[in-house]
Amino acid sequence: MTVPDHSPRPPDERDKLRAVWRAPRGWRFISAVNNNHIGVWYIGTGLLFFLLAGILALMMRAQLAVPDNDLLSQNLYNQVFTMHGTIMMFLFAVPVVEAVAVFLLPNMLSARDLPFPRLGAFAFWAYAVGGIIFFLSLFFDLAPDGGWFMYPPLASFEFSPGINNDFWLLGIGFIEISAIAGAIEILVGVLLTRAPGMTLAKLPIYAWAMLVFAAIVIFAFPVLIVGTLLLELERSFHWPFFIADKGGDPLLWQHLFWFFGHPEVYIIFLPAAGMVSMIVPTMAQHPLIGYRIVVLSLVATAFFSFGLWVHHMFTTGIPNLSLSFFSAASMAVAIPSGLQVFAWIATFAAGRLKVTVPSLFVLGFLFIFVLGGLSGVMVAMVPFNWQIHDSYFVVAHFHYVLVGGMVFPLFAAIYYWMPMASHHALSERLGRWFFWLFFVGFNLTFFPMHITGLLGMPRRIHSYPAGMGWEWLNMLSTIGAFVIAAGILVFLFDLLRKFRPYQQPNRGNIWGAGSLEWLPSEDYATRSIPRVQDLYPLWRDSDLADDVDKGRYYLPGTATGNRETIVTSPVNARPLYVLRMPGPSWLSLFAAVFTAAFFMLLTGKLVTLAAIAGVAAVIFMLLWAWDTDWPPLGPVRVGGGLELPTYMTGAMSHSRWAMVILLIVLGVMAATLVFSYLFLWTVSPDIWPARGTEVVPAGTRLAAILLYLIAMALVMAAGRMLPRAARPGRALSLVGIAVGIAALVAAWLVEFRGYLASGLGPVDDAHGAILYAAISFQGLLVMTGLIMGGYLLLRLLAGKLDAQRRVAFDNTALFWYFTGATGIGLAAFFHLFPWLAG
Amino acid sequence: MGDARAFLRHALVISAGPLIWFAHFTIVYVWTALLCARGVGMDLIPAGILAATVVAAAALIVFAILSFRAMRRAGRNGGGNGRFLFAVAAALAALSLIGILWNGLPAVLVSACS
Repeated sequence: MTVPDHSPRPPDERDKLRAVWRAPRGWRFISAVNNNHIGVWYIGTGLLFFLLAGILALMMRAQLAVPDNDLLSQNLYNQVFTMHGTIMMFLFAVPVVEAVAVFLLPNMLSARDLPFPRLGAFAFWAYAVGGIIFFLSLFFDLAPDGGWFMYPPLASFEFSPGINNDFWLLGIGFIEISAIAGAIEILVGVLLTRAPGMTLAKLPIYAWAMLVFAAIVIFAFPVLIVGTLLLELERSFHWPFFIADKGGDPLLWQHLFWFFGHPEVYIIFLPAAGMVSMIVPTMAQHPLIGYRIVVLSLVATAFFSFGLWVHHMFTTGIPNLSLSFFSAASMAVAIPSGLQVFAWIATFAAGRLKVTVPSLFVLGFLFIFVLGGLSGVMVAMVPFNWQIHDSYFVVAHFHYVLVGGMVFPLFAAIYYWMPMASHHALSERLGRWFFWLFFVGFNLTFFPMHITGLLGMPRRIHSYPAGMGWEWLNMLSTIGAFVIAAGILVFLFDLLRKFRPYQQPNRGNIWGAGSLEWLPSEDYATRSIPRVQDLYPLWRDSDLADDVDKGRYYLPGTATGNRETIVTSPVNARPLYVLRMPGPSWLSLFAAVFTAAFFMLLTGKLVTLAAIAGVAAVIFMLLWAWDTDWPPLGPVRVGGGLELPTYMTGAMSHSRWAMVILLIVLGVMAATLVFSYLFLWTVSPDIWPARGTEVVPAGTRLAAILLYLIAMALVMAAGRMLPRAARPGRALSLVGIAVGIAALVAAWLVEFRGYLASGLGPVDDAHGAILYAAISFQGLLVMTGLIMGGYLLLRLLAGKLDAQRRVAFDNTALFWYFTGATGIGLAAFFHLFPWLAG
Repeated sequence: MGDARAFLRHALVISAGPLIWFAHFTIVYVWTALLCARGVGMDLIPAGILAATVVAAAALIVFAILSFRAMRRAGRNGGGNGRFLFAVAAALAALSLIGILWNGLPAVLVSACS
């Protein structure tokens, strides 16, 4: 039997599907976890932060409108510009592109939801609650004021006492956790939950962009997390990573920050480019020209983006030749971006462009982004960069790139996908008003800043004297900013009038688009999951929408009585199994609230309360995980003659994929600590022990390594001894895991005691600080391994873990192997390095 | 296991070009930074960079040719994923080649540690 299958479907099939996917009613609505709901709230919260940071921008522009203005005090101005940058980058740009993906991706891939709905809900709530508390710090004179990149020594304890900058370090550190959770969800979603037949060569460009985006997040964000942890340790406990007197180096912070910070630009831009690559073909009614070239340019940009970070540090005294490498890479990255621009222009030229509001925003994006790219090549030139560094020229450049490269495409996307998200489309007439106000206002605000910068106005000054020739340019910029604000007001009015998200049916495919998100859908996504044969399935098969909606493709109802979607292989999209997904839950919401509380209470130095919140967060996470390792069921029929298993262990378990990605994140963190160690050794060899000196005796290191090996062997043995059905063997696996936990903890304690006994303290010098940072990081891994091991013991006792139902075990085992390997690797490295290099 | 392996193979083939670029970039950066910071062997810096650039360029050219051939072979066998994969891999290797030549160029133009 093949699909579409025209045999009649049971009459109550759709109602059952609807019932399973129905969102909770009334106030319980906020316990929803489905991507269609979370996605809308997530995008809404992102836009809220855009408005708030926009208001801060207006305050700055009002302050700078005339010389010698005293509307904002210097102290408040510092907080306002720091918060504007921080919120726009961390609370608007990154979350909102993830939010759009949470909403769009499952629909575009024809999955019923993302693979970990509760993780999606957790990421959203952690971000929303944490972000709002972070913003409120402004009202208590507690907002960070060290600039969005927080350079020490200014941002460290000596020159910024008080907790303002701790808000940044802990607040942002934890919002990164939310971003990483989102990236894991997106990676596994794109790789494993595509419609059957949607091979990598037929993957919509937006999904490619999000795949690449998530991969950059996985490698870039952990570096910043380590950086923020180090700076927080310096601020709170005076561990001198960045203090030159004690062998530290403020440049280490800049390296860590910008190793994240430059890819961040592409983290924001690539999703936007992905949106544009979906909008352009529809508006031109022509397939995207150069699909492969666009894929290649996305992948190339991702790699090149990691070779650019020092171009933010051209004036720090790094050798000229080193600067040239980054200058060259900064020019090289223009090639893939240029290729994409040509692909879009060629598509417009090959088809017939419909001038709609989304098209206008795309054209506006092309104009502004290309200008930003050109000034980008200018600032990539080292000698020019030295002249305009920290001037308004740079402010103009990055606003052209970021607003042009991300905000314009975002509004194009909002207008474009609105008919799929809402009962009404947004107004074309008001949309044009909005576009022109925004476009003109933007150029009026930011174009003059190029000149203000060339005339010497530094960024971040709260006032300037008259007679510098900057007055009229600043006035123009301020007028432009308020024109943008007028445009945004028009948009908000339109949104208020037309946006009706949960009213069925949605407005539908008014643009004549070809991708799957335009299939008829409700909370359960599409009625059935189609087999994909083309990049533009709706253009290829005019009956597809009807066939899908009549249930003629896969999984037309609920096969297991739960929420579910089909997992397909990552390259060829061959159906593998039916993934059962959890429904609405308070657990992920509470876990998120307590995680936010933990970080915010820690900022306020309320350590006991923070600890209580932290424990509560862990308990809620474990409770949430408790239900998600389902009891295995037999195979089920999903239509089209296809029968699929409902439980998967081993290499193709979606849960395994998520765990491996998490381990990559942790691996990058460990590598960052090793890099920091080597960097500090390069700049301060004098504080390193003499060649051949042991900080911790070799015997102690060997004992720790042996204990890690024992823990790894025990978890391996416990895996073999998991009970077949219920009883037999349970005792043995229990003992294996329990002794394994003890070995893991003992390994860490042995090494840690070795450090304590060495006489070297973390506040003595940068060498001591980085060693203690590494052993603390290892301690966090061991503690997590301990909690996971304890969780396994509980599952064994509860009869929820056996040789078949073992995903929870496999993930824990993988984590233990990683913890052991990291412990052994770090111990060996820190022991051997002084022997070799001294 | 086959599906996970197939994915890893795809990911490696697509990333090979940019990974060589990244390895080259890291090597020349660390080489320069280390020798400049320690003030030893500074005369060796340009030669080291040129050697790394020649090796990386050769590796990229070989990989690009192999990918291009694999692409044509896949094309004759009906196209699909294979053709797509190797086309993207070959083009990425070519782009990476431009990247490393660009990065190697300063070795002959700019004095090392000033």
